[in-house]
Amino acid sequence: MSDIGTDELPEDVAKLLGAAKELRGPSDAVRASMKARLVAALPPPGGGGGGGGNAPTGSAGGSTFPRVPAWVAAATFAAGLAAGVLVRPAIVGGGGLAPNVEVAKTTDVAKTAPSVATGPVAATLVPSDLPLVASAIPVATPGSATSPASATAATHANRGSDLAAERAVLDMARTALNRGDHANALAATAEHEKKYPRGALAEEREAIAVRALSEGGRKGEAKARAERFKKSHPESILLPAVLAAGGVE
Amino acid sequence: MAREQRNDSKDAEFTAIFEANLAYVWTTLRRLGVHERDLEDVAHETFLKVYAELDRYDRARPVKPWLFAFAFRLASDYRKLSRHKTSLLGDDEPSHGHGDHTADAEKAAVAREREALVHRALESLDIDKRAVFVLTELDECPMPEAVAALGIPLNTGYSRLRAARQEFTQAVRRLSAARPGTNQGDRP
Repeated sequence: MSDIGTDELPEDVAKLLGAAKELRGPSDAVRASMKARLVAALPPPGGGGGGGGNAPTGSAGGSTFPRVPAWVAAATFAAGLAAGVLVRPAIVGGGGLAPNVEVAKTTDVAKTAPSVATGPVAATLVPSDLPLVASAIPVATPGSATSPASATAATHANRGSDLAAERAVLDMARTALNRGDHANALAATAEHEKKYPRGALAEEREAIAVRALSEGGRKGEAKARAERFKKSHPESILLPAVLAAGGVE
Repeated sequence: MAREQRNDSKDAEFTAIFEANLAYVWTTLRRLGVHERDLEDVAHETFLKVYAELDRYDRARPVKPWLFAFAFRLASDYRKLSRHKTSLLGDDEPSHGHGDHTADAEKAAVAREREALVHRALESLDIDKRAVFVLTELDECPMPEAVAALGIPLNTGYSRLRAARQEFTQAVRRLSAARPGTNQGDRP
C-alpha cells in the first residue's frame, strides 16, 4: 500500500511481505469439523439455544448448513447456552473474553495432558469448555427438578448430566488434539468409548479419534476407523470431516 | 413465516461468508498472534460472533475489513491471557514436509521460512499497530476502510502505520541478522 505519505517500507521488506500475502486456511478435515461445530452452536430450529448471541432465534430449516441430527440437537442446547453465555458479553459490551477466560482457567486441562512440552497449555476457548458450562445448566444438574411428579424432568436432568460428562471427556480429547498431543487425544477418546460406548457424542468421539490417528501419522488406522464410521453412521453430519481426516475417497 | 424466511436467508448468507472467508479469518488470526494450536477454537468463536452480528452488517461495505474487526477483537482478548504472552512463535512454525528434499518441497520450505519471519517480525508490534499494518500492508485494504473497520480516527491509523512500518522493518533486520540463513527476499 502506498496510499499515504508516510515512510515507505524498504524494497526488500516489501518483497518479503509480498511473499507472505497468501491466505492459508485449515485442512479440509478441520474445515468440515468447524462447520459441524458451528451447526451445533448456532440457534437450533425453533430457538431455545441462544447460541448465536443476539441473533434472532428461529428455524434453521432450509439452511444451507446440513440438517441437524439428534445428537447435535442435544448438544446444541448445551453448546448454544455456552456460546450465548460466553459470546454475548463480548459482543454487547465489547469487553472481550473475560468470561471465557474465567471458565477456561477452571478447566484443568493440564491434569489430563501433563506430558505436553510444547509451551503454554492450549487455550480452551469456548465452546470447547462445555463441561463446566454444561454442568451449570439447570437441567443438567441431577435433582434440580423441582416438581415431585417430574420423572420426565429427572430423566432429562440425568441425560443432561451424562451429556455434560461425555462432553467433558471429549473436550479433553479436542484440547489435546489441538495441541498436537495425539496420544492424549486418543487416550481421552478411548476413555469416552469405554464409559459411553453408545453415548450421545459417540460420533463426535469417532471424528476426533480419526483426526488424532491421521495427524499422528497412523494413516492406515485412521482410514480403517473412518471406513467403519461411514458404515455405522452413513447419515452423520460429521461424515465429510471423518472421511477427509481418514483419507477416504 | 417471514421470520423463518429471514433466518433461512441469514443462514445462507452466513454459510457463504464462512465458506468464502474461512481462510482469510484463519490467516488473519494467525497474523494477529493466535497460536497455531488455538486457531480452530478462536476461528470458531469469531464466526459465532459474525453470525450474531450479521444483521448489523452493512452490505455496501466490503466484507473482509468487517471480518477483520471480529478477528482483531478476538485476537486482542486472546493475547491478554498471560499464558499466551510467552508465545514468541518459535515453537509454532509449520512442520509439514520435513525430510522432503524435492525442489517443490524446498521452495515450499523457503516460503514457510519467509512467512515465519514475517510472523516473528509482526510479533514485535503491539496489537493496535499490528492490526493497522496487517490490514493495510498484507490485506491491501485502503486506509479509510481500515480505520472504519477498526473504529479509529484516520490520523491515528496513519500514525500507527508509520510506526508499524518502522518497527516491522527493524524487527526484520534484527531477526535476519540473528538467523543468517533466513532468506529475506532479494536483499544481499
